[in-house]
Amino acid sequence: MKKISNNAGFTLLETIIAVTLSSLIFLLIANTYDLNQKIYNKTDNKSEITQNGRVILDRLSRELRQTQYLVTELPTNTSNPNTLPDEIMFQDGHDTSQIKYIRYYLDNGNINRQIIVYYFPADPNTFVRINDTDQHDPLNPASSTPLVQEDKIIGEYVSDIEFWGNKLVNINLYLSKNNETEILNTAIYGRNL
Amino acid sequence: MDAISNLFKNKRGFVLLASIMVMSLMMALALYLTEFTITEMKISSSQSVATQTYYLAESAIAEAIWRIKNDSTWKNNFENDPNWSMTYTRHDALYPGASYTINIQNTGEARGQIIATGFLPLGKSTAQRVTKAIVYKALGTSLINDDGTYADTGMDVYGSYIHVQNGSIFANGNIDVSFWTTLQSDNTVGTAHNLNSNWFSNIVGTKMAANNTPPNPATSTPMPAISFDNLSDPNSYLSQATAQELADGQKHVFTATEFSNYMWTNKNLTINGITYVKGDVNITGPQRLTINGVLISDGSITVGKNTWFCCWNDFDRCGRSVVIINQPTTTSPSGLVAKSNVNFDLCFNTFDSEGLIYANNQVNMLSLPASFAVEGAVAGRYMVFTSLWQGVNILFNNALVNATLGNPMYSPVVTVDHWEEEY
Repeated sequence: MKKISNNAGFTLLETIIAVTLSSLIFLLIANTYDLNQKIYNKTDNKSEITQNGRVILDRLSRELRQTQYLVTELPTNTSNPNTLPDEIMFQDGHDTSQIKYIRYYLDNGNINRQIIVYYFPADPNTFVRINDTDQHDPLNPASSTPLVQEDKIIGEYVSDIEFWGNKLVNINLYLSKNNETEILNTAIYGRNL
Repeated sequence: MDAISNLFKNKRGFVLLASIMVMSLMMALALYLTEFTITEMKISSSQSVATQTYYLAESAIAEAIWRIKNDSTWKNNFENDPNWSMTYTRHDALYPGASYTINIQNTGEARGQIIATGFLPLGKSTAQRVTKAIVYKALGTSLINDDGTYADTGMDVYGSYIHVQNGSIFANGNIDVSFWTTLQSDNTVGTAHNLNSNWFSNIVGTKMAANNTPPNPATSTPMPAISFDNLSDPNSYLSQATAQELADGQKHVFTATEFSNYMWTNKNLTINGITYVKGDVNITGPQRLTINGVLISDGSITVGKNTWFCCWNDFDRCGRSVVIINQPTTTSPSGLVAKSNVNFDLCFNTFDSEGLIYANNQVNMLSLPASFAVEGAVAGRYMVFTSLWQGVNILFNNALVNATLGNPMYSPVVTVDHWEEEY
């Protein structure tokens, strides 16, 4: 058996220095990874809320542009922020075969889109305008019998949405996810309003 | 080879070398990841600002279209100036520090291109997005639809050849044609009552609509009203003529005698703009009248008034009349408008009109014209034509009719032809 001639190990000092140095370098690298991970999450969140904002605004703009009638009364300016509605309802301008209303509203951080129809109790199959009154039954106007045909979430991570404007419909959309925020503002011209 | 084998034989420092290599690798990976993340962060940030700027530019287009529809200056320029161009900038639009610029360039009347550019500051640089839309307004339908000849009650045609091009022939009452007449339209010949053809006459059209030509008669159309002498209405023709008098210092409002004397002293007379005559207008003898605009009478207008040998003032001035009507600009009224009748009598030679012939009562023709051509339309309460088989040609022109009836020239709707989302 061959004898190990050199049996000198590391001194304590050498070991301490080596362990400290490698710990420091390891910490540095770990920190870098951690930072990267955080930034990655941050950008991921930012992209996600931007994408949600786009989906909401694109869909809302398309339908709002075509509408003939706005049900929600909008304040003309933002001078009183408390009065800005966080929902909007208007007549569907694309499906002209029936009178339908579309409502976008904020619900627990989501933007929901509802399709609502109105009818007179005497004839539930014929949809009428929200302001209409049955001359034979004036106590039950159409507005008292809303029927939600569809209610779907179309966008998430919305902290607030505001609608205002006199002729142009202005929209302020506030999005947030894990401390990441985004504000998208635009104005829509209702070509049939 | 010795050096390499020595390196491995001498195991002292191997751990250090291995550690450095592993650490370097980890560091390189960390740096790569950092670089990667920073790029991602930049992309995400610019994507977010780009989205905001895009909606900013979109709102600029929305404002431009809204202004074309509602702002009277923008609306007038857009509709009337084919070369209109303007740039408009709004600062602090939607976001603090943000702005947008709208550039409109008309490519014709009521047709143009809008380019909107949104700017949003991003640190030291500025994000920019451009949207482009091509918009136009369609011509509004005239109050007499596409009728080249319109009669509120009936229409009688004897011994004539009448051809309405590019439009229809319409009467709320009966249309009676007789005595070797041809009544021809490129579109519909319609009446809310009956179409009657006698004495070797015929009615030609791509469609017939009457009670006696199944399936359906034409829908009745009310006669459009013209505001003549209501001075409290700024759009009445008397108000407009008075305003033009003040504006250009020329005479635009005449009495019947004044206008007759004016013609007598000017054998070749040219009148411009709106000319309003309080009383009848008789265009007699060899008078040559060029109207660059509209001649209004609150009585009757007679073209080529029938006199002994077509002479005016005994035998002082003899011959047959010539009336030429031009529309001075594409939006100004032109034609002959009478509160009572418009008559085409035996002593006229040529009538060449670019405008509307309108009689609140009756349009009568009893003549042998050398040439009768109207671009626009002929409208009256009742209509009687006897052209002795000379060609009466009417080319329907919606814009000319609209300009004289005072109906809005263009549809109020701004139509978006093309919307280029972003680039």
